[in-house]
Amino acid sequence: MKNHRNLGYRMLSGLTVALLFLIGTALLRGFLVGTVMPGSRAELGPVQTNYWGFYMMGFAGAALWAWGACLVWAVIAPTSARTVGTATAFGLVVNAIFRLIAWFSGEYAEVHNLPRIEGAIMLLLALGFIWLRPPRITETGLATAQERSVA
Amino acid sequence: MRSIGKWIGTVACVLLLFVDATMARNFHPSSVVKHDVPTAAGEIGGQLPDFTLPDINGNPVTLSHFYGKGPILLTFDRSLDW
Repeated sequence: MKNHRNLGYRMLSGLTVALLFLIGTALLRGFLVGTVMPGSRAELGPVQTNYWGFYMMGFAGAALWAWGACLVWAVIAPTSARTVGTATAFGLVVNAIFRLIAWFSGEYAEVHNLPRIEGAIMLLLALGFIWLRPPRITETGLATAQERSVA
Repeated sequence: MRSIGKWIGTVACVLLLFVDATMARNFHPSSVVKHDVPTAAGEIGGQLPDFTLPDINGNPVTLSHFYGKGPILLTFDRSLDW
């Protein structure tokens, strides 16, 4: 029988993993294009930065990959990895606050309301991680066979 | 008691969503956009926007102070002590 417990939490985690890996890959590619292949900087479009900016892009991309790798565990074993969802919700809220401040600063007026929209999406995702988070194993006394096998 | 963290997180998210949704109505970010060179420089053949900058002795010099006194040559040096 297929296990449909915590399906919403797993789907939300899976979607977030996909987004984290996609954005992380784009940032790492930006670092490679901007630093290792400086002749190809035109490919980066509106991104105007110097080698320090590309360094930070690479750092952020690697961090997003690591975050996504941690969240994969929430897809595989949601009850055991419930704290990964909590940490993800916290990270999303911090990212949303940073985007609201970025929008408020006016420095990113060229992208209009994009930081605010991104912030709202992150806050909605955080709410999903807060409310879909599975209960503790001790609260239910249950764990999936797969989780018992990996525990 | 265990769900207190859940409610704190929820209240924080809802409050931030409220701020996110209402800040555009109450504040426009372009009002604090700093003028950079492309937006401040004007067009070729046009009139430069007035400005005040310190001279080599630190005294403020205003461009419009020289209007009508003859041609004006503006030079900007990175540093005069190199």
